[in-house]
Amino acid sequence: MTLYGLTEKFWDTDELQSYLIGLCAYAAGEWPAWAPDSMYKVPSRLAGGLMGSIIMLALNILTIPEAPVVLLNLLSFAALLFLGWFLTRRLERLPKWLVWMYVLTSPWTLHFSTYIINPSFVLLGAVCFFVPWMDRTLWAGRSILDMRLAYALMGFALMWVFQVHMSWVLIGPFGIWLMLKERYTIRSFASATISFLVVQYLHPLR
Amino acid sequence: MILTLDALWNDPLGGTENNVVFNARNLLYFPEFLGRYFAMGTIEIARYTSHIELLFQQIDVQPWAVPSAVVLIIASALQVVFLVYFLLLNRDKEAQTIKRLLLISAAIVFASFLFSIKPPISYTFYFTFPLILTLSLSAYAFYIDRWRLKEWFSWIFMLSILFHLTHMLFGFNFKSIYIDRTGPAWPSNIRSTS
Repeated sequence: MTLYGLTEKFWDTDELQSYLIGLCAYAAGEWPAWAPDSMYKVPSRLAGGLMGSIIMLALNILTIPEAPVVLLNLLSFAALLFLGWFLTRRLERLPKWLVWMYVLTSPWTLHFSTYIINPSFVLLGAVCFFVPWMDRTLWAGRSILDMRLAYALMGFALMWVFQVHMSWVLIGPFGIWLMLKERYTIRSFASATISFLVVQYLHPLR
Repeated sequence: MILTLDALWNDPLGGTENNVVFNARNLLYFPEFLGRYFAMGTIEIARYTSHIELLFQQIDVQPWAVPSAVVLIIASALQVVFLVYFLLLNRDKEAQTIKRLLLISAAIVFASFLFSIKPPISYTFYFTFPLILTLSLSAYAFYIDRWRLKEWFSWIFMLSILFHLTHMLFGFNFKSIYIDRTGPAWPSNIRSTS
Protein backbone atom coordinates (compact mmCIF):
# COMPACT_ATOMS: atom_id res chain seq x y z
CA MET A 1 0.00 0.00 0.00
CA THR A 2 2.84 2.37 0.85
CA LEU A 3 4.53 1.66 -2.48
CA TYR A 4 1.24 2.32 -4.24
CA GLY A 5 0.79 5.59 -2.37
CA LEU A 6 4.29 6.71 -3.31
CA THR A 7 3.48 6.33 -6.99
CA GLU A 8 0.24 8.28 -6.78
CA LYS A 9 -0.29 11.98 -7.61
CA PHE A 10 1.86 14.46 -5.74
CA TRP A 11 2.22 17.65 -7.77
CA ASP A 12 -1.47 18.53 -8.29
CA THR A 13 -2.89 21.51 -6.38
CA ASP A 14 -4.81 19.66 -3.66
CA GLU A 15 -2.10 17.07 -3.03
CA LEU A 16 0.62 19.69 -2.86
CA GLN A 17 -1.36 21.95 -0.55
CA SER A 18 -2.05 19.09 1.86
CA TYR A 19 1.63 18.14 1.94
CA LEU A 20 2.80 21.75 2.31
CA ILE A 21 0.59 22.37 5.36
CA GLY A 22 2.61 19.72 7.20
CA LEU A 23 5.93 20.71 5.65
CA CYS A 24 5.45 24.38 6.63
CA ALA A 25 4.58 23.34 10.18
CA TYR A 26 7.70 21.17 10.29
CA ALA A 27 9.92 23.92 8.88
CA ALA A 28 8.57 26.68 11.14
CA GLY A 29 8.10 24.42 14.15
CA GLU A 30 4.58 25.73 14.62
CA TRP A 31 1.27 24.00 15.19
CA PRO A 32 -0.70 23.75 11.93
CA ALA A 33 -4.04 25.28 12.98
CA TRP A 34 -5.79 24.69 9.66
CA ALA A 35 -6.45 21.84 7.26
CA PRO A 36 -6.77 22.39 3.47
CA ASP A 37 -9.12 24.98 2.09
CA SER A 38 -12.48 24.19 0.60
CA MET A 39 -12.53 26.55 -2.36
CA TYR A 40 -15.76 25.53 -4.04
CA LYS A 41 -17.27 28.96 -4.83
CA VAL A 42 -16.84 30.12 -1.22
CA PRO A 43 -13.29 30.51 0.20
CA SER A 44 -13.00 28.57 3.45
CA ARG A 45 -10.62 26.36 5.41
CA LEU A 46 -11.22 23.34 7.59
CA ALA A 47 -10.36 24.04 11.22
CA GLY A 48 -7.95 21.76 13.02
CA GLY A 49 -4.32 20.75 12.92
CA LEU A 50 -4.66 16.99 12.75
CA MET A 51 -3.57 16.42 9.16
CA GLY A 52 -0.69 18.90 9.33
CA SER A 53 0.52 17.51 12.64
CA ILE A 54 0.55 13.93 11.32
CA ILE A 55 2.70 15.04 8.37
CA MET A 56 4.89 17.09 10.72
CA LEU A 57 5.26 14.15 13.11
CA ALA A 58 6.30 11.85 10.27
CA LEU A 59 8.94 14.34 9.08
CA ASN A 60 10.23 14.68 12.62
CA ILE A 61 10.64 10.93 12.90
CA LEU A 62 12.24 10.46 9.49
CA THR A 63 13.53 13.42 7.47
CA ILE A 64 12.71 12.12 4.02
CA PRO A 65 9.87 13.31 1.72
CA GLU A 66 8.27 9.85 1.80
CA ALA A 67 7.85 9.79 5.59
CA PRO A 68 4.29 11.24 5.70
CA VAL A 69 3.14 8.68 3.11
CA VAL A 70 4.53 5.85 5.22
CA LEU A 71 2.82 7.10 8.39
CA LEU A 72 -0.49 7.67 6.59
CA ASN A 73 -0.33 4.13 5.22
CA LEU A 74 0.32 2.72 8.69
CA LEU A 75 -2.80 4.50 9.96
CA SER A 76 -4.91 3.39 6.98
CA PHE A 77 -3.63 -0.18 7.24
CA ALA A 78 -4.53 -0.28 10.94
CA ALA A 79 -8.04 0.90 10.04
CA LEU A 80 -8.37 -1.76 7.33
CA LEU A 81 -7.18 -4.49 9.70
CA PHE A 82 -9.92 -3.42 12.13
CA LEU A 83 -12.54 -3.41 9.35
CA GLY A 84 -11.33 -6.75 7.96
CA TRP A 85 -11.37 -8.34 11.42
CA PHE A 86 -14.90 -7.08 12.01
CA LEU A 87 -16.17 -8.29 8.64
CA THR A 88 -14.63 -11.76 8.95
CA ARG A 89 -16.34 -12.09 12.34
CA ARG A 90 -19.66 -10.88 10.98
CA LEU A 91 -19.85 -12.38 7.50
CA GLU A 92 -19.06 -15.97 8.32
CA ARG A 93 -20.67 -17.25 5.13
CA LEU A 94 -18.00 -15.52 3.03
CA PRO A 95 -14.51 -17.07 2.77
CA LYS A 96 -11.97 -15.08 4.78
CA TRP A 97 -9.63 -14.70 1.79
CA LEU A 98 -12.41 -13.02 -0.18
CA VAL A 99 -13.16 -10.51 2.58
CA TRP A 100 -9.49 -9.64 3.15
CA MET A 101 -8.75 -9.34 -0.57
CA TYR A 102 -11.79 -7.12 -1.03
CA VAL A 103 -10.92 -4.88 1.92
CA LEU A 104 -7.22 -4.55 1.15
CA THR A 105 -7.28 -4.28 -2.66
CA SER A 106 -10.50 -2.39 -3.34
CA PRO A 107 -9.74 0.55 -5.67
CA TRP A 108 -11.34 2.93 -3.18
CA THR A 109 -8.93 1.61 -0.56
CA LEU A 110 -5.87 1.86 -2.76
CA HIS A 111 -6.67 5.15 -4.39
CA PHE A 112 -7.61 7.20 -1.37
CA SER A 113 -5.97 6.39 1.97
CA THR A 114 -2.53 5.74 0.48
CA TYR A 115 -1.26 9.16 -0.65
CA ILE A 116 -1.21 12.61 0.87
CA ILE A 117 -4.47 14.46 0.23
CA ASN A 118 -7.07 15.27 2.85
CA PRO A 119 -9.72 12.64 1.91
CA SER A 120 -7.01 9.98 2.40
CA PHE A 121 -7.09 10.75 6.13
CA VAL A 122 -10.85 10.11 6.24
CA LEU A 123 -10.59 6.30 6.11
CA LEU A 124 -9.42 5.85 9.72
CA GLY A 125 -12.24 8.02 11.06
CA ALA A 126 -14.80 6.39 8.77
CA VAL A 127 -13.87 2.89 9.94
CA CYS A 128 -13.85 3.99 13.61
CA PHE A 129 -17.35 5.40 13.14
CA PHE A 130 -19.05 2.81 10.97
CA VAL A 131 -17.71 -0.41 12.53
CA PRO A 132 -19.34 0.30 15.92
CA TRP A 133 -22.32 1.94 14.20
CA MET A 134 -23.01 -1.16 12.10
CA ASP A 135 -22.32 -3.37 15.09
CA ARG A 136 -25.23 -1.67 16.86
CA THR A 137 -27.63 -1.34 13.92
CA LEU A 138 -27.08 -4.09 11.36
CA TRP A 139 -26.27 -6.62 14.07
CA ALA A 140 -28.26 -5.05 16.90
CA GLY A 141 -28.58 -7.29 19.93
CA ARG A 142 -25.55 -9.33 18.85
CA SER A 143 -22.86 -6.66 19.27
CA ILE A 144 -19.28 -7.81 19.58
CA LEU A 145 -17.92 -4.41 20.68
CA ASP A 146 -18.38 -3.13 24.21
CA MET A 147 -20.90 -0.26 24.31
CA ARG A 148 -18.47 2.22 25.92
CA LEU A 149 -15.76 1.34 23.43
CA ALA A 150 -18.24 1.71 20.57
CA TYR A 151 -19.29 5.22 21.60
CA ALA A 152 -15.72 6.27 22.37
CA LEU A 153 -14.72 5.17 18.85
CA MET A 154 -17.59 7.13 17.30
CA GLY A 155 -16.64 10.24 19.31
CA PHE A 156 -13.02 9.79 18.24
CA ALA A 157 -14.19 9.48 14.62
CA LEU A 158 -16.03 12.79 14.85
CA MET A 159 -12.93 14.54 16.19
CA TRP A 160 -10.82 12.94 13.44
CA VAL A 161 -12.99 13.55 10.38
CA PHE A 162 -14.00 17.05 11.53
CA GLN A 163 -10.41 18.14 11.00
CA VAL A 164 -9.76 16.59 7.61
CA HIS A 165 -12.88 16.62 5.44
CA MET A 166 -16.26 18.33 5.12
CA SER A 167 -17.99 14.93 5.09
CA TRP A 168 -17.91 15.00 8.91
CA VAL A 169 -21.44 16.45 8.73
CA LEU A 170 -22.69 12.98 7.70
CA ILE A 171 -21.92 11.81 11.23
CA GLY A 172 -24.89 13.96 12.33
CA PRO A 173 -27.78 12.02 10.70
CA PHE A 174 -26.16 8.61 11.20
CA GLY A 175 -25.42 9.48 14.85
CA ILE A 176 -28.98 10.72 15.43
CA TRP A 177 -30.31 7.50 13.87
CA LEU A 178 -28.36 5.46 16.43
CA MET A 179 -29.28 7.78 19.30
CA LEU A 180 -32.98 7.44 18.50
CA LYS A 181 -32.54 3.68 18.37
CA GLU A 182 -30.69 3.51 21.67
CA ARG A 183 -32.24 6.24 23.77
CA TYR A 184 -30.45 5.29 26.96
CA THR A 185 -27.04 6.05 25.48
CA ILE A 186 -27.68 9.63 24.33
CA ARG A 187 -25.68 10.99 27.25
CA SER A 188 -22.62 8.86 26.54
CA PHE A 189 -22.57 9.78 22.87
CA ALA A 190 -23.08 13.47 23.60
CA SER A 191 -20.33 13.52 26.22
CA ALA A 192 -17.90 11.75 23.89
CA THR A 193 -18.75 14.21 21.12
CA ILE A 194 -18.33 17.32 23.26
CA SER A 195 -15.10 16.14 24.84
CA PHE A 196 -13.48 15.39 21.50
CA LEU A 197 -14.65 18.68 20.01
CA VAL A 198 -12.93 20.46 22.88
CA VAL A 199 -9.76 18.43 22.37
CA GLN A 200 -9.82 19.50 18.73
CA TYR A 201 -9.09 23.07 19.81
CA LEU A 202 -6.12 22.21 22.00
CA HIS A 203 -2.98 23.89 20.72
CA PRO A 204 0.53 23.30 21.99
CA LEU A 205 2.02 25.98 24.21
CA ARG A 206 4.99 27.67 22.56
CA MET B 1 -0.71 22.14 26.24
CA ILE B 2 -3.23 24.85 26.96
CA LEU B 3 -6.74 25.31 25.73
CA THR B 4 -6.74 28.26 23.34
CA LEU B 5 -10.19 29.52 22.67
CA ASP B 6 -9.25 32.12 20.08
CA ALA B 7 -9.94 29.85 17.14
CA LEU B 8 -13.08 28.56 18.77
CA TRP B 9 -14.55 32.03 19.27
CA ASN B 10 -13.25 33.86 16.24
CA ASP B 11 -13.57 31.34 13.43
CA PRO B 12 -14.55 27.90 14.72
CA LEU B 13 -15.42 26.46 11.30
CA GLY B 14 -12.96 28.37 9.12
CA GLY B 15 -15.74 29.68 6.90
CA THR B 16 -16.79 26.15 5.87
CA GLU B 17 -20.29 26.91 7.18
CA ASN B 18 -20.73 28.99 4.00
CA ASN B 19 -20.73 25.75 2.01
CA VAL B 20 -24.00 24.77 3.69
CA VAL B 21 -26.79 26.21 1.55
CA PHE B 22 -30.07 24.79 0.35
CA ASN B 23 -29.28 23.47 -3.11
CA ALA B 24 -32.34 22.05 -4.89
CA ARG B 25 -30.31 21.67 -8.08
CA ASN B 26 -28.66 18.60 -6.53
CA LEU B 27 -32.01 16.78 -6.88
CA LEU B 28 -31.18 16.41 -10.56
CA TYR B 29 -28.15 14.30 -9.63
CA PHE B 30 -30.20 11.56 -7.95
CA PRO B 31 -29.76 8.78 -10.57
CA GLU B 32 -26.07 9.61 -10.93
CA PHE B 33 -25.67 9.66 -7.15
CA LEU B 34 -27.32 6.26 -6.74
CA GLY B 35 -24.95 4.76 -9.31
CA ARG B 36 -21.95 6.32 -7.62
CA TYR B 37 -23.11 5.24 -4.15
CA PHE B 38 -23.58 1.61 -5.14
CA ALA B 39 -20.36 1.64 -7.19
CA MET B 40 -18.30 2.63 -4.15
CA GLY B 41 -18.61 -0.93 -2.87
CA THR B 42 -17.41 -2.44 -6.14
CA ILE B 43 -14.09 -2.96 -7.91
CA GLU B 44 -14.59 0.47 -9.44
CA ILE B 45 -11.62 1.91 -11.28
CA ALA B 46 -13.51 4.85 -12.79
CA ARG B 47 -11.86 7.08 -10.19
CA TYR B 48 -8.56 6.66 -12.07
CA THR B 49 -10.10 7.82 -15.29
CA SER B 50 -11.26 11.20 -13.96
CA HIS B 51 -8.11 13.02 -15.11
CA ILE B 52 -8.67 12.75 -18.85
CA GLU B 53 -5.25 14.04 -19.90
CA LEU B 54 -3.43 11.50 -17.71
CA LEU B 55 -5.79 8.77 -18.90
CA PHE B 56 -4.87 9.30 -22.55
CA GLN B 57 -1.22 9.52 -21.59
CA GLN B 58 -1.50 6.17 -19.80
CA ILE B 59 -3.28 4.54 -22.75
CA ASP B 60 -0.49 5.83 -24.97
CA VAL B 61 2.28 4.49 -22.74
CA GLN B 62 0.59 1.26 -21.60
CA PRO B 63 -1.83 0.10 -24.32
CA TRP B 64 -1.47 -3.47 -23.03
CA ALA B 65 -3.18 -2.41 -19.76
CA VAL B 66 -6.38 -1.39 -21.54
CA PRO B 67 -8.02 -4.90 -21.69
CA SER B 68 -7.75 -5.41 -17.91
CA ALA B 69 -9.16 -1.92 -17.32
CA VAL B 70 -12.10 -2.56 -19.66
CA VAL B 71 -12.90 -5.89 -17.96
CA LEU B 72 -12.79 -4.24 -14.52
CA ILE B 73 -15.09 -1.43 -15.65
CA ILE B 74 -17.60 -3.98 -16.97
CA ALA B 75 -17.23 -6.05 -13.77
CA SER B 76 -17.94 -3.04 -11.53
CA ALA B 77 -21.03 -2.19 -13.63
CA LEU B 78 -22.22 -5.80 -13.17
CA GLN B 79 -21.69 -5.45 -9.43
CA VAL B 80 -23.97 -2.40 -9.40
CA VAL B 81 -26.58 -4.40 -11.38
CA PHE B 82 -26.20 -7.18 -8.80
CA LEU B 83 -26.99 -4.76 -5.94
CA VAL B 84 -30.12 -3.57 -7.75
CA TYR B 85 -31.11 -7.22 -8.33
CA PHE B 86 -30.51 -7.92 -4.62
CA LEU B 87 -32.66 -4.95 -3.63
CA LEU B 88 -35.54 -5.81 -5.92
CA LEU B 89 -35.63 -9.59 -6.02
CA ASN B 90 -34.11 -11.03 -2.86
CA ARG B 91 -36.97 -12.29 -0.67
CA ASP B 92 -34.73 -13.76 2.05
CA LYS B 93 -35.91 -12.72 5.54
CA GLU B 94 -32.36 -12.02 6.74
CA ALA B 95 -31.73 -9.75 3.78
CA GLN B 96 -34.44 -7.29 4.72
CA THR B 97 -32.28 -5.43 7.29
CA ILE B 98 -29.46 -5.09 4.78
CA LYS B 99 -31.80 -3.85 2.07
CA ARG B 100 -33.42 -1.36 4.43
CA LEU B 101 -30.05 -0.05 5.59
CA LEU B 102 -28.79 0.22 2.01
CA LEU B 103 -31.79 2.34 0.98
CA ILE B 104 -32.00 4.49 4.12
CA SER B 105 -28.26 5.21 4.14
CA ALA B 106 -28.42 6.23 0.47
CA ALA B 107 -31.39 8.48 1.30
CA ILE B 108 -29.53 10.09 4.21
CA VAL B 109 -26.41 10.79 2.17
CA PHE B 110 -28.39 12.14 -0.77
CA ALA B 111 -30.62 14.29 1.47
CA SER B 112 -27.52 15.82 3.06
CA PHE B 113 -26.45 17.04 -0.39
CA LEU B 114 -29.58 19.16 -0.58
CA PHE B 115 -27.74 21.38 1.90
CA SER B 116 -24.38 21.26 0.17
CA ILE B 117 -22.98 23.73 -2.31
CA LYS B 118 -21.17 20.81 -3.99
CA PRO B 119 -22.82 18.16 -6.20
CA PRO B 120 -22.73 14.57 -4.86
CA ILE B 121 -19.51 13.37 -6.49
CA SER B 122 -18.04 10.17 -5.10
CA TYR B 123 -15.09 11.44 -3.07
CA THR B 124 -17.33 13.88 -1.20
CA PHE B 125 -19.06 10.93 0.50
CA TYR B 126 -15.97 8.69 0.72
CA PHE B 127 -16.67 8.73 4.46
CA THR B 128 -19.43 6.15 3.89
CA PHE B 129 -17.06 3.71 2.13
CA PRO B 130 -16.87 1.20 5.05
CA LEU B 131 -20.67 1.14 5.24
CA ILE B 132 -21.35 0.55 1.55
CA LEU B 133 -18.48 -1.99 1.36
CA THR B 134 -19.99 -3.95 4.26
CA LEU B 135 -23.48 -3.86 2.79
CA SER B 136 -22.20 -5.04 -0.61
CA LEU B 137 -20.28 -7.94 0.96
CA SER B 138 -23.33 -8.80 3.06
CA ALA B 139 -25.36 -9.05 -0.14
CA TYR B 140 -22.79 -11.41 -1.73
CA ALA B 141 -22.99 -13.66 1.33
CA PHE B 142 -26.50 -14.74 0.24
CA TYR B 143 -25.26 -16.01 -3.12
CA ILE B 144 -21.75 -17.23 -2.39
CA ASP B 145 -22.75 -20.91 -2.39
CA ARG B 146 -25.48 -20.68 -5.02
CA TRP B 147 -23.54 -18.85 -7.72
CA ARG B 148 -19.90 -19.30 -8.71
CA LEU B 149 -18.90 -16.09 -6.97
CA LYS B 150 -15.66 -17.44 -5.49
CA GLU B 151 -14.25 -18.21 -8.93
CA TRP B 152 -15.54 -14.92 -10.31
CA PHE B 153 -13.92 -12.90 -7.53
CA SER B 154 -10.63 -14.83 -7.87
CA TRP B 155 -10.36 -13.67 -11.49
CA ILE B 156 -11.45 -10.13 -10.65
CA PHE B 157 -8.89 -9.81 -7.84
CA MET B 158 -6.11 -11.04 -10.12
CA LEU B 159 -7.08 -8.55 -12.82
CA SER B 160 -7.39 -5.78 -10.25
CA ILE B 161 -3.89 -6.46 -8.90
CA LEU B 162 -2.52 -6.51 -12.45
CA PHE B 163 -4.24 -3.21 -13.23
CA HIS B 164 -2.95 -1.56 -10.06
CA LEU B 165 0.60 -2.76 -10.76
CA THR B 166 0.48 -1.16 -14.20
CA HIS B 167 -1.02 1.96 -12.66
CA MET B 168 1.84 2.08 -10.14
CA LEU B 169 4.37 1.83 -12.93
CA PHE B 170 2.72 4.68 -14.81
CA GLY B 171 2.35 6.81 -11.68
CA PHE B 172 6.00 6.35 -10.76
CA ASN B 173 7.12 7.78 -14.10
CA PHE B 174 4.48 10.43 -14.72
CA LYS B 175 2.82 11.82 -11.59
CA SER B 176 4.57 10.71 -8.42
CA ILE B 177 6.90 12.46 -6.03
CA TYR B 178 9.81 10.87 -7.98
CA ILE B 179 9.41 12.90 -11.14
CA ASP B 180 11.19 15.83 -9.49
CA ARG B 181 13.39 15.28 -6.47
CA THR B 182 15.49 18.41 -6.89
CA GLY B 183 13.14 20.90 -5.18
CA PRO B 184 14.71 23.28 -2.64
CA ALA B 185 11.97 22.72 -0.08
CA TRP B 186 12.52 19.06 0.75
CA PRO B 187 12.63 18.33 4.49
CA SER B 188 16.31 17.34 4.44
CA ASN B 189 17.24 20.63 2.72
CA ILE B 190 15.19 22.64 5.20
CA ARG B 191 16.93 20.96 8.10
CA SER B 192 20.42 21.50 6.67
CA THR B 193 19.84 25.21 6.02
CA SER B 194 17.97 26.09 9.21
